[in-house]
Amino acid sequence: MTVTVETLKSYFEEYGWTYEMVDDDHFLTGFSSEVVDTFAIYITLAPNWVYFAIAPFVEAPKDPECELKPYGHLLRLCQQINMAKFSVDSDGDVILTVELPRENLDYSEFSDALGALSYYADQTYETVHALAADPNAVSAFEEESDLDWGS
Amino acid sequence: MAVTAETLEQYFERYKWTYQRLDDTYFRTVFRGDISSFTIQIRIAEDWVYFSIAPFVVTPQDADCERKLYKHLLKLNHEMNMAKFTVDSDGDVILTVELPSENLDYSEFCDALGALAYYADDNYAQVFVLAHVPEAHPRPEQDLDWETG
Repeated sequence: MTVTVETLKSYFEEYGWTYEMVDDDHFLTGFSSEVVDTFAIYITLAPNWVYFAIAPFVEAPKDPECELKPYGHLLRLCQQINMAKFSVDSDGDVILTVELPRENLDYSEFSDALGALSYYADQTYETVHALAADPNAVSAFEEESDLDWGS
Repeated sequence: MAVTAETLEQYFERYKWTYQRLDDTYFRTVFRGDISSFTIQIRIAEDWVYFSIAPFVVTPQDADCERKLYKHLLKLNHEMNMAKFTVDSDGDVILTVELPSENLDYSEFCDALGALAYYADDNYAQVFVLAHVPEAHPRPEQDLDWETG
């Protein structure tokens, strides 16, 4: 059965987070974090998918020199994280997202999606933000490759 | 119940794709797309099953190629459902789908292989060119909606 707006409202009640309906297909919620005051999470009900997204997670790098490092870092992070992924939208902003099939979306999956977004946002924000703003910032993955020893 | 190697064998038989079972956690299969053949590795981990084409494209040698490629891959991640592009520690591009191993059913197995096959075939030429041709530019954005079956 396809999840409805009413189902998502009941999941929010069970999860204990406040939310607002932006329109018929969009919810807005958020959580306080140690690294920024609040991360806003948008939940979109599309015909086949439910999207949970922090958008923007980090705004587009303004300095072209700051593009390569965060992009490489985000793609390495994508390999390490489960359920979620990083992407870039048409404005160049970084998005952190979880997408789940709308069919039979149950409370456990809803809870996992919000949990994954919260955890990965908290864990990764500071470095991604620094890499997008500071040409001298260093990704942990760069340091890792510096230690690569080839015989 | 977490999926087992025996369950995956049943799914492969039903899906009618040939496969190799390399050990109790690792399978390999191949499909022929319109422009290339792709090897899909399937790995059963503790909580997740990973379906990956690795490498999808090997690491670029040129820094400008790398920047354009990475931005393109992240934009594709924004448009794709179920799958994502990543980069491994060697800099190789990986196309992957991960699903919880708990209660992984045949329909999800089909969707994972279907999504990988669709996105691989649709994106390989452009990703390869961006990775290795400095003069190349990404094509305009497109609708990459993948609908589960």
